[in-house]
Amino acid sequence: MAFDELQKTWQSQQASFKLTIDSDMLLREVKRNKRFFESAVFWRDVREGGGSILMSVVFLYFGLRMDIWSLYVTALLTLSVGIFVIVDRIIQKRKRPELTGALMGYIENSLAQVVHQIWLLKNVLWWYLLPLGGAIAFFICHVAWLIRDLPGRGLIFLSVYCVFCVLLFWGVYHLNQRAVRKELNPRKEELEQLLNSLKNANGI
Amino acid sequence: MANKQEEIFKQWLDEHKKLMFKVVKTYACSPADQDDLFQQILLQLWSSIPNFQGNAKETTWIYRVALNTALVWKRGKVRKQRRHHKLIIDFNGASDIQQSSCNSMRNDQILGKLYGAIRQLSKIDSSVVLMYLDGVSYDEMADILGISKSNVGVRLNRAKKKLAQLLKGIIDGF
Repeated sequence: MAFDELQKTWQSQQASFKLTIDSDMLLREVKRNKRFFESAVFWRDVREGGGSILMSVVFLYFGLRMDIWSLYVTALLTLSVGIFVIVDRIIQKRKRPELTGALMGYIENSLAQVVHQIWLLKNVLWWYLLPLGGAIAFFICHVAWLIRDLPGRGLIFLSVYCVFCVLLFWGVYHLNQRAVRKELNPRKEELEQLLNSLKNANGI
Repeated sequence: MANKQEEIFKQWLDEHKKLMFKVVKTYACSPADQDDLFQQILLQLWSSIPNFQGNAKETTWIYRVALNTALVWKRGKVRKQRRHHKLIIDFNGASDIQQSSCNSMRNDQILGKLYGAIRQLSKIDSSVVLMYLDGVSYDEMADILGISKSNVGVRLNRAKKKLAQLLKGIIDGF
């Protein structure tokens, strides 16, 4: 059999597709999936960006109510994390790969997105953990200073709280680095390989 | 606008489902994966309709969406995210040749081996072969992939050689 015949055999399979699709059912399914994805993305943004903003409002409220100025600083640092997340999301949405463009451009853009994700997670210490950790540490130090004359219980509570925060942040940091190693780096390599294969006519 | 979008979607599904089936069968093996990829392609196709202004041919547009989705698709990702786990299309049933003549059974066997061989090529080469077999012109292939026409030619030649090796006994010497 020559390639021409193979091509004919391939094209003949079109006639053999006997299955009829219920387009109304598929349309319903597609719409449901779309709603599901949109809602998942929306709630992820709310969780990651809105959570920090909500916390900053809570800190500000208690700062004003209890007249503890260190809570203003805590609110400000927490707010900065929320704003960073939201601004980053908006920028990334604008850079989203154009699905109807050529494959080369689509893979390049997808790769750029993965590289950005890796950058975010590798630097989670600087834009997430340090501002939040700094905010909490600042508040704890101020409270410790305010209750310095009280007997030991308050200080013990603050120390335990401090250790808890350090462990929590350490865990969050390592979870992020694991995601980079296990998921994002292999994905990046896969896309780079695809891109190189596409750019180089002589192949991999 | 929503009605128009639905109308176009149904029309594309009706006229070009075979194209989508072939892309899905090339890039996904198991029924669950095929279902995942098919749904992902449909989802992207639905979202792309508002941007379709008729400048590109329908098949070029659908090929772009289907191939872009398939090549960047991550196995099992959609299934994990989706609420519904029921398969919406049985691809094995869809591709079965219903006629029972010897000739069609032989074609069925050849097609099965051909899909197997295409899956062994690199992802990019698979897409070139897929389009070549479907009779897509070099110009369109270059447009869909974002590479030069000569690059398409070189790549296709190389892919055909590999395919001939993989399908020894079916394809005459290349």
